Amino acid sequence: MDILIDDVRHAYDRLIVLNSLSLDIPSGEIVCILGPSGCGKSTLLRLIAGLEVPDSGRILTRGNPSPRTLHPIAIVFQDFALVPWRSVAKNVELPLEHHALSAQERQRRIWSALQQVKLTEFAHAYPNRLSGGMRQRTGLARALVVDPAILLLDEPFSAIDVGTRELLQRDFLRLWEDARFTGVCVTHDVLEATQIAHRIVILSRRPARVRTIFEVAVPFIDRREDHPTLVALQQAIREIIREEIEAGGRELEGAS
Amino acid sequence: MAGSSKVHPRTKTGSVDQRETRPDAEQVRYRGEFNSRPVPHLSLLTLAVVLALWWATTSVGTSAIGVPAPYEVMTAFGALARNGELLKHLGASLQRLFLGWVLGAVCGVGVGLAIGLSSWGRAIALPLVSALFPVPKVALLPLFILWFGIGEGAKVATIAAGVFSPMVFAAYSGASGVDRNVVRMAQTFGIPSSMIIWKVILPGTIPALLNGCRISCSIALILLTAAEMIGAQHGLGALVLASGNLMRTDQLFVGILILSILGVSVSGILSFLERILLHWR
Ligand SMILES: Nc1ncnc2c1ncn2[C@@H]1O[C@H](COP(=O)(O)OP(=O)(O)OP(=O)(O)O)[C@@H](O)[C@H]1O
Ligand SMILES: [Mg+2]
Repeated sequence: MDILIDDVRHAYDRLIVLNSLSLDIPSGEIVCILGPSGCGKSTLLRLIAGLEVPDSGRILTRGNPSPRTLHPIAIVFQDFALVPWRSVAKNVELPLEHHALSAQERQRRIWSALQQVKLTEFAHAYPNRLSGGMRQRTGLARALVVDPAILLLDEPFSAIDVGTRELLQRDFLRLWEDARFTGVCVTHDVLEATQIAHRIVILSRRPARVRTIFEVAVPFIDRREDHPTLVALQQAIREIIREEIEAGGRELEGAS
Repeated sequence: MAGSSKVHPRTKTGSVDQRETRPDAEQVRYRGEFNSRPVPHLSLLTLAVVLALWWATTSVGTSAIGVPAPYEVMTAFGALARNGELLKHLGASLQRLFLGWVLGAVCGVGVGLAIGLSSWGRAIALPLVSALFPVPKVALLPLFILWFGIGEGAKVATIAAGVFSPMVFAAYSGASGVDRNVVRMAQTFGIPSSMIIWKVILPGTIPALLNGCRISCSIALILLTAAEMIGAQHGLGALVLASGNLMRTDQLFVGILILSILGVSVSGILSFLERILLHWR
């Protein structure tokens, strides 16, 4: 499904977080969203998830999800947001429990999701016994179990050590190859963005608008870390974000 | 720390390897004094020492200051147990404790969840509860006696009032302490609110509720004793007060001992519940 964000403005009390933000995210693409800290990336994700209503403007989705889709949208958080008193399998089952599914279909979905993230062995473990990487894979399995058309990720791999993170990024791409969801991934990690995104959206400092959009034309199989196009892209992105942060700093100094 | 991954300069047994080849190296000082380590039998030993001291002081004839000897307490205990008085006192107390605690806890958890889950509940109930919270609940006893008479009603109501506030705050803080992102995740999946409350928020308040139970049970025990000192035929508070008036310190000690055992048992039951309900921690 496409996501169409149309002239959205959102404020918390007097703090304007997003202002005239427009962005179209095409169906089946992975879009990474970068921007200075506190600029409103998580807010944007919550708006897309329908957890908050924009003060003005519209957020639309377009297209029909596949017949396998139980719920069109799912979310993955940096802190995994697992339910600590539920085992891995029970966590994955949570989004199925309010749907009328046969017990067989329910189990099939749980086990296929666990297989996709390679966690079948730990199906009955509790979250506090898992490593960070395993927790996040549980979070991914729980999101994928409904076959969402849109997957929202808020800094999904930033609480995970570098080596495991690269593995998870590769696994994530493999999952996308199978499911072809529309992915919206907020991240701080420029390298990560150039590894997993079709398109990179850079937001300006608060109040955030879309500052720049980069298309990453390199196919996934060619995305070695030292690929010259990607390295150049990373530099360009870092430069823009630095500019935004410095401009924000100057505004603060001017105001005080 | 070159090579430290291969040879640990300090082993568990305390032997130090390669000291000669590293003249400039210093032993790392142990700074884990506050690490918890099991000390076998020390708790039992302490208890035995206290008992021995008690026995020793009373056997040299200081019972004039009001401390009965251990065997005197045991004798009083036996007598009270045989003539059925003890069971009457204990039964009356347990009944009041149970009724008052359940009444206060049910109301308190209900109000606390309403505050924690709904903006309306919060706006209505929070000021009232905050105003009631600092009032020492014994002060309500005379009021309850006026309302309900000097019988069971006033005692149960006092205990319930004391249990109410801590349970309100336990339920309220438990419900609002549930991980925001877990709730957001569930909402994003379109899980109905009633199911989110039942499957995510309520189980998430259990740790806070168990803590609330600990606090409210000890408050209930205090209020029970105080309430039974006013116009009660039976009950541990009545036993303690009457024994004091008759200078029967042996019986008085029996009462205190039973109250202590009651508190320890409640605490034990709660620890057991914690192990069962929070096994995932
Ligand atoms: N519920 C809220 N109430 C009030 N202010 C909020 C709320 N949520 C976010 N904010 C404010 O809105 C701004 C944007 O927050 P948001 O979390 O969207 O930023 P972010 O880009 O995700 O930041 P980070 O990169 O640090 O995660 C911040 O200044 C934050 O303080
Ligand atoms: Mg954020």
